[in-house]
Amino acid sequence: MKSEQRPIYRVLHTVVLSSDRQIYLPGAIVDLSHLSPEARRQFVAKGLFETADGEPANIPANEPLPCKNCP
Amino acid sequence: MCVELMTSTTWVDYSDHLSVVDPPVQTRPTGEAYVFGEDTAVIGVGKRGPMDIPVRGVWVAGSTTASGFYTVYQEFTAACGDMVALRWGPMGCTSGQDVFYTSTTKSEVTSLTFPGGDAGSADIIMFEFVVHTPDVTHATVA
Repeated sequence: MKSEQRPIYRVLHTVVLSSDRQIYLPGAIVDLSHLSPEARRQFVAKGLFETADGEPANIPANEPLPCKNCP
Repeated sequence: MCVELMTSTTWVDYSDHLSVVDPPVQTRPTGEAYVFGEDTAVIGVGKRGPMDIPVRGVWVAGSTTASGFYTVYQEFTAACGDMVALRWGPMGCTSGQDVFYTSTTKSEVTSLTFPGGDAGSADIIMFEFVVHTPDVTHATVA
């Protein structure tokens, strides 16, 4: 998946992502592909996130971990 | 409600072992003085003080991996104590819920009540520990 197609957001208020249970402070760039578009819209409306560009600090739950020594 | 502990970098759900998180109270020290020209006190407030958060749980015999007691015990008995951060969600830890967590760098277990027993009692064997922390932060699960 290309990065520009991924739902990348900036954290505006401290959150715990349900995908990895980790805490992300305001300013962090995260991938919210574990959430539905409707859930993302609701969280943006509540002021928790805003759309952004950049490399996410989390690894989405629905994406395989990067492998080592891949062919 | 859900309760999680973190002893290194990973939060682990211990909701199946822990039963009570006493609501912490954080206070600021206050000072007061009186002057001749006023009928009320001149007051001042200081910095927020640390908190002690008592947590109670059900002791599980023989388990050293999934048990909340032995997780806390290992950190408590480490030389000079190791960090144990506490996170709880009054309405659960699912998406959209609010959670609160203690400092992830300076939280320590300062008291541990070991499981006991009474031959004439059918009470569940419990344990208790107290987390001492300088701050509690609010977050939303997303």
